[in-house]
Amino acid sequence: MLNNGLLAWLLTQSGTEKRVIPRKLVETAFRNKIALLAPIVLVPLLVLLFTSSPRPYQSVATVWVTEPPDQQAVLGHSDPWRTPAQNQAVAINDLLATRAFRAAVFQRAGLLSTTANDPTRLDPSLRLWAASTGVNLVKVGALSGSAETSQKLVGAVIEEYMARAVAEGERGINANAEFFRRQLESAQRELDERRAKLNEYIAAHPELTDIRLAATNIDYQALRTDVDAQTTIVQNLSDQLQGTELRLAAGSTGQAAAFSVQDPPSRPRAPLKQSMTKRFGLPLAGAMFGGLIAGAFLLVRYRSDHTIVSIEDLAGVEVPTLGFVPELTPPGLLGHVPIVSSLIRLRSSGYARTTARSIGATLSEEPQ
Amino acid sequence: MAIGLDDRPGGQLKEALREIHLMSGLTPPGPGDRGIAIGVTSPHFGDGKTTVAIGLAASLAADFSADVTLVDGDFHTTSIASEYGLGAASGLTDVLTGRQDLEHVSHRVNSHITVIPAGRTDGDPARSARSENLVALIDNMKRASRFVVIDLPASLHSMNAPVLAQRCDGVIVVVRAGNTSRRDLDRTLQLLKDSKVLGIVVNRRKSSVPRWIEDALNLRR
Repeated sequence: MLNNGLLAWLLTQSGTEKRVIPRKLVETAFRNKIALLAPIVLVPLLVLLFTSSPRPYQSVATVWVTEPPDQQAVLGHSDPWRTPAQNQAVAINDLLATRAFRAAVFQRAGLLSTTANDPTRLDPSLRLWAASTGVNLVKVGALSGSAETSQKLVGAVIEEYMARAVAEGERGINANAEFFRRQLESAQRELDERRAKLNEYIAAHPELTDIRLAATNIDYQALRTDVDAQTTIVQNLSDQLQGTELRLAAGSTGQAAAFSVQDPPSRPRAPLKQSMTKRFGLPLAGAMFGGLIAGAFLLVRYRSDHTIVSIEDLAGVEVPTLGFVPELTPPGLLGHVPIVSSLIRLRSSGYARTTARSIGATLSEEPQ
Repeated sequence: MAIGLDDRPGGQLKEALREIHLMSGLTPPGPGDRGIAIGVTSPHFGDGKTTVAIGLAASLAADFSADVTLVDGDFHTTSIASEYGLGAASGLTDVLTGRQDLEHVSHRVNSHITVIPAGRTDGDPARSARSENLVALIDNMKRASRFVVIDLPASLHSMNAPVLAQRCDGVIVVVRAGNTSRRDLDRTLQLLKDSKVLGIVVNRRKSSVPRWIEDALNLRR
């Protein structure tokens, strides 16, 4: 009784005003049991089919990252609000998002002869990533179908990144050096001109050999001050150029110090374990979705069935229900199997009438 | 020793028909009782009215040891004649048109059952149904048998059904489970509003639900 009430209550909550007939609903469910079970079984199978893939091998390397002395990132933009590790992880992932970088990585790993194609498109299981762990540690990882490929790819990512960082650093330093070199040449010319003017003035005024007279000669002192100031400028520019050239010479070493591999790319011994979500969660979600489809199908079938199935379908009819005559099927071994019973019925369409007529068989055949 | 229920199809049908006797108030004949005419119709062909009519006639004869006349009033299908192997025998229409007399078209098939086929269908069934002769004819049958079971046409397919139903003392409406819609039943009952409808019989009822689930959910039949 409780189950019956619960079933009716659940269906009246669907918002329809039509009264639910539990007998008819259950009957509809059992008559369509194959159609109802099909989505519950098939949807999880389809989910498994479309989500199943070979378990990938993962290789990971750990890199120690610091900011170079000039407070710039090893490569890319340096956000002062982020840790060095975060800055570099962002830079690496940005590069990995480009086809050119990926192709260069694969070429460096010896997996691609040219950079014309993007191999990640050929093998969807390939995945390269970088993530920060802590302030100074960046993990670089690769997922692929084989342990060797994963290991090679991680190494190639680090090498390619370093190569680009060094090239980028050199390009910046070279630009600085060129700037200082030009400034220095210009400053040196100016210094030479000022020195020439001073020398001309001294030649025209031999009395300036006397230090006391020289100290009181305003023109001489002005020229002398110009030369000294320019000499300082030239000296500063020369120092800066030297410093830049020193950085250029030590460029790769400095970058290497700011981006040093602590744990080399690991060689995975076994593929990754399949996640519980993928193994059970997705099929379960598929089964639930299949259940929803089955439920909707049942509701549609039930609501669209206006035939008389149970006594409750006759509610409101002003005449009484006299009785129920059962479906008459010939007895047989497989008579209860739906398809077999249908075939039997087809072959003996007059069975019910014959049975009805046979009720009077006990009466004497001879008319009285 | 307990007597087991007869689970064979014949036994199930017999019990179902006994329930119909009981529910429709059909009782064993007493001395001096007048016969009664019971029409059996359905909304559509194939709902099982002929089967119920044959079964009802047979069970009334068997259970009450009463004389029963089974009349094929369905001029469209004339299936009772073929069911009893009477072929294209003369029948009701022939009597109504005066071509034959009742005695000539009555076929005694056993000690209690007399079958009257529909007869030749070349005439106008509507005129036959409306014929005043039919009232007298049914009266004659009722004098001869305690029960006259008339297999009427399908109500939604032939307007002869409501007309013939009015000639009967009571009408049983047969619906086919899982096939007849409530709307068709309501329309049939509307057409039979001038007749005395004894009740509804749900024919060919079958359940796909296992018995233990029916019990667990307390499902009504």
